[in-house]
Amino acid sequence: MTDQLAQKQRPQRVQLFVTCLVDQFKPEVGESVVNVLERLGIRVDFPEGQTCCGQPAFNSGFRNDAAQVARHFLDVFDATEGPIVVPSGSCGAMVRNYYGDMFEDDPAEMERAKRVGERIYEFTEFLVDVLGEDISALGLELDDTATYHQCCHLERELGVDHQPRELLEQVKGLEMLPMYRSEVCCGFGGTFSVKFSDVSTAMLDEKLDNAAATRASTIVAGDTGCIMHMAGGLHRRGSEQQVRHIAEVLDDAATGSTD
Amino acid sequence: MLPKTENFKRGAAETLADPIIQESMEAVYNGFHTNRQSAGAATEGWDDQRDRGRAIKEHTIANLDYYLNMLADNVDANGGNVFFAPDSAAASEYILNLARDRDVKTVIKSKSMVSEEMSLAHEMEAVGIEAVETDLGEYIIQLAGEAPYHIIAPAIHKSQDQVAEMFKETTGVDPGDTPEELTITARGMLRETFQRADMSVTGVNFAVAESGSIVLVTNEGNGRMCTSIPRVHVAVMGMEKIVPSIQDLSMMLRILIRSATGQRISSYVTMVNGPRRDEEEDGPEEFHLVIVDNGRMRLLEDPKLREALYCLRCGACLNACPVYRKVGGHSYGWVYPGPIGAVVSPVLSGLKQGKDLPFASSLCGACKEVCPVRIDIPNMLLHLRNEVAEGPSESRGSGRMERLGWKAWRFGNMKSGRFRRGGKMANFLGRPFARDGMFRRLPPPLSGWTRSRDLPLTTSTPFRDRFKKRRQRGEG
Amino acid sequence: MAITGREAFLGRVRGALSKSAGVPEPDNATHLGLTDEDVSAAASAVRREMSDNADALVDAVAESAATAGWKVRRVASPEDAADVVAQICVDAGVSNVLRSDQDVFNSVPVDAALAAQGITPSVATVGQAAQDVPGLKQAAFDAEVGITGVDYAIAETGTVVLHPREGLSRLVSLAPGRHIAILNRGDVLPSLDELFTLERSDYNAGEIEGSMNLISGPSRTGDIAATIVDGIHGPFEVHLVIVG
Repeated sequence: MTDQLAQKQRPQRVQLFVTCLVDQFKPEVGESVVNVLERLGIRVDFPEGQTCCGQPAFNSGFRNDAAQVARHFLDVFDATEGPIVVPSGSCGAMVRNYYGDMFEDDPAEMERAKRVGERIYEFTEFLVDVLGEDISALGLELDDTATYHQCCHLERELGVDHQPRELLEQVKGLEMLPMYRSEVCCGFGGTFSVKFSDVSTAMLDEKLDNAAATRASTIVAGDTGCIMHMAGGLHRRGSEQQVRHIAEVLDDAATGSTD
Repeated sequence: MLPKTENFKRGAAETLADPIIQESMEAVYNGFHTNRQSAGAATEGWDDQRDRGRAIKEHTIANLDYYLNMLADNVDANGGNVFFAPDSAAASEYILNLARDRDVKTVIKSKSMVSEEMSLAHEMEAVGIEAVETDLGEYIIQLAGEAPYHIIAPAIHKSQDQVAEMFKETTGVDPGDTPEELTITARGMLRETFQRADMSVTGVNFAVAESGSIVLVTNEGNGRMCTSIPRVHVAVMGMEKIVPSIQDLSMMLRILIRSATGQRISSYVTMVNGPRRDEEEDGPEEFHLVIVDNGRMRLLEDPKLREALYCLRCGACLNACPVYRKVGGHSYGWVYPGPIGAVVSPVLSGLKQGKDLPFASSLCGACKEVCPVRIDIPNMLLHLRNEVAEGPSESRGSGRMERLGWKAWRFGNMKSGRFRRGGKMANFLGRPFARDGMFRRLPPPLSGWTRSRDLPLTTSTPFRDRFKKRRQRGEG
Repeated sequence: MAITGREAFLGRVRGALSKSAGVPEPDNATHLGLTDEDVSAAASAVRREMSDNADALVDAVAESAATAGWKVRRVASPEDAADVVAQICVDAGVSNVLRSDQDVFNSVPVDAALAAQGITPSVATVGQAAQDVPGLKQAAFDAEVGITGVDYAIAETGTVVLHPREGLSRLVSLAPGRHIAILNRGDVLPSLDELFTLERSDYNAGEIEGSMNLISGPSRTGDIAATIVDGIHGPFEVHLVIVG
C-alpha cells in the first residue's frame, strides 16, 4: 500500500458515542477520548441526540423497551457518516453483536442495524487497528504503576484483547504489573450487581484482592460499568488504589501530537 | 431428582457463607480450568476441531430422528435392546422391571447425569435392590445423600475430613485421612461390590449411530468394571448424545476430554458394541440402551435453545464460570449446575419455577469461550431472560413494578433533552444524600449495590454539556 | 398396528424439528458420508504407515506412554521382554500372576521366564484359570498381576488398545493391581484418528469385536480433595514393555 493510499483511508473525522454512563457519571472519560483523538488530528463529532444503546433493558430481558431505544440510537447515528468510536466494549458489542437479535422480524431495521454496526469501533480498537502506527505520535509517557483488568465484553464479545495492552506498553515510564486472574469478571454484569448483590460482591472482592496484590497505584480498564463497580468497591474499602479508563491514562500520558 | 430451581438465591447465600466450600471451589479454576487452557494450547488445530465438533453436533441434532432411528436399528442388529423413554418415570420403570425380571440383587452404577435426573439409585433402593454408585465422587455424595456438585467432579465440595468422617461411619473402621489412604479404603469397599453385582447402569458419552455402539470415558475404571462383570448392562443416554460415524469419535473424544480435565486422554475409553460375543471369555450377556427425552424436546423445538443439546457434559463452562465458583453446584437446584445448567434446568423444570437462573450470570462470556462446541450460553440466557420478562403469562416471571420501571427508563432515553434533564434531576435530588459525590446507602432496588459498593452521584455537568462548551470555546 | 415407543418418539422429534422423515443432506463435518471404499483405502494407508513409519511411531509412543503414566521399558528381543516381565513380578514380590491367551505369548516366552523365577502364571480363559465366568472373575480379582499383549498402541495419547475376545478376558487388564502390556514394534498408530479409521473399516467388513478398551495409564481419581491418586478401581501400576 502506498503512503498516499494509507493517508486516504485514514479517517479524518469520527462520530463519538460516549455512552450513557460516561455522559452521566464519568464525563472526564469522554473528554479524554476527545483529547487523544484530537491530538492525532481526528475531528470528533458528538451527535447530540444520543442517549443509551439499550443494553440495560436488553440484558434484563425487556427487548421491546430495548428495541425502542435501539431505534432511537439508529435514528441518531445512521444520519451521520464515518467511524463511530465508543469508549466501551460492552456498548460496542450491544450495537455490533446484539442489535440484530431484536430486529429479526424487521428487515429494514435489521439492515440499518447492520450498517451502523459495521461502523462501530471500540476506542482502543480504533487507535490500534485503524490508526495503527500513527499513535506513536502521541509521545506517551507517564511515571506510574498500573495493572490491567480485562473487561469481559471488550475481550470476549468484541475480541479486543491485545489492543489495550499494546497501548499501555507504549507508555514510557508506566510500569505494568500483571494481575492474577486478570481475565476473570469483576462481578458487575449490569442489573446482576443489584439482583444478585451477594454473588456480585464476592466476585468483586476476589477482583479487588487480586488488584491490591499487584501493588499498582492504578487499575486500568476499558468499560465504565466495570470501572464504576470496582471504584465503588475501592471507595467503600477506603483503598488508595484508583481505577481509571484507559482513555484517561492515555490522555495523561500524551505529550506529543500530530498537529 | 425433583427440580428445586426456585431456591437459587438462598442456596447461593448459604454457599457464600461456607468457607470449606469456597476453598474447595478454587480447585475447579486452578486445576480443571488451567489444565484445559494448556491442553487446548498444546493441541494442533484445536479451534478447527472445536468448529468441526460443533458442525457434527449441529448436523446430528438437525437430523436427530434419522440418527436415532439408525442407532436403534444397529443396537438391535448387535443383539442389544433399545427403549425410548419419553420421561424419567418411563425410563425408571423399564429398568426396574428389567431388574426384577432378571432377579437382580445388586446394581453397580457408573456416572450418568441422566440417571440423576431419574433418581435411579433411590428408586432402586425403594424396591429393595441394592444400587451402588461406583464413581468415587458419586459414591461419596451417595453416602452423603446429596446431588452432584459438578458434572465431572460430583464431590468437589467435600473436604477430605468430611469424606473421612463418612467412610468411618460406613465401614466402622479408621479409613485414614489423606486422599491416598481414603482412596485405598474406597477401593476395598467397592471391589467387593463389583464382584457381586449382577446388573450395571452406565451413562453414555457418545452413541454411534452407524454401528450401534456406546462410548464411556472414565479415569477410575468403574466404567470398565460395569461393562465387564455384571450379567446385564443398561446404558442410559439423553437423546442428544449421538454422533453419526465411528470416525467422528476421535475428534469428539479429544475435545471432550481435553475440555473436561485437560488430559490428553482419560485413563480409559470403553466402546461397547452390544452384549458379549459367544466366544468371548466374559462380559454382560444382555445390553440395553435407554434413550431419554425428559424435557429435551422443549430445547429441540426452540431454535434459539437447540444448541443446548450440543453439550458434551465436559464441565468446562462450570470451571470457567466466576458465578458457579461462588454459588456452588447445589444452588442451581437440579442435576445440571453452572452456565449450561442455568439454561437447561429452567427449561426442563419450568421457566416460572426456575426464573432466577437465567439472570444469575454476569454475562461475562467465559463459558462460551471455553465450550468445546462453542455453545453460545450467554445468548441463550438472554433469550430466556426475555421469556421471563416479556413472555406469555404462563412463563412470565417479571413483576409489574419492574415492567413499569423499564417503561420509564425507555421514556427517559427516547429524547436526549429528556435524558439530560433526568440526569440533572438525579443530581439535584441526590446531592443532599451524597458525601464526596458518593452514596453509601440507597433504597431498593439500588440497596443491592450499596450493600458493598459506593455509588457515584450523577454529574452536574454531563459530557454533552462539556463538549458543547468546548466547541463554543473553539477547541479542536 | 399400534405405534411403538420408537415411532412415537421419533414422531415427537420430527415435530420439534418441524421436519418430515427422510435421509439428511450429506454433510462434510461427519465422516458418515465416506464410502466403504474410501474407508477401506484409508485403512490400508494407515496399515502401511504403521509399518513404514514404525521406528518413529514406537519412539513417540514410548514418550507419550510415559507421560500418560505407564512405566515404559524398551527391549531388543522377545527373550529380553520376557525377562523384563518376570523381573517386574519379582520386584513387586508377587506370585499370583494371570495372563491372557494372545499370540504375543507364542513369540515372547513369558511363561518360561516366570518359571525360572518360580512363578507359574494362570491363563485367563474359561477352561484354564477357571471352569466358568464367575470363576474367571474370581481369578482376575485374586491375581496380583495381569499380563496382556497390545492390539494397537497410539502415539498421540500413550494409549494401549485391547479388544476383548476369545483368549482376552475383559478383566485381566483391569482387576489385578498391576497390568503389564507387551507391545510389538509395528503395532503403533499415530493418533486416535487412525484407530477409528481401522475400527470403522473392521465394522464395514463385519469384523468389529464386541467391545474395545483404550487404556492410557493407571486407574486414577481426583475425587477426594481434588488430589490425583492412582489405583482406585483398576490397576495402580501399569507397565508397557516395548519389543524391537
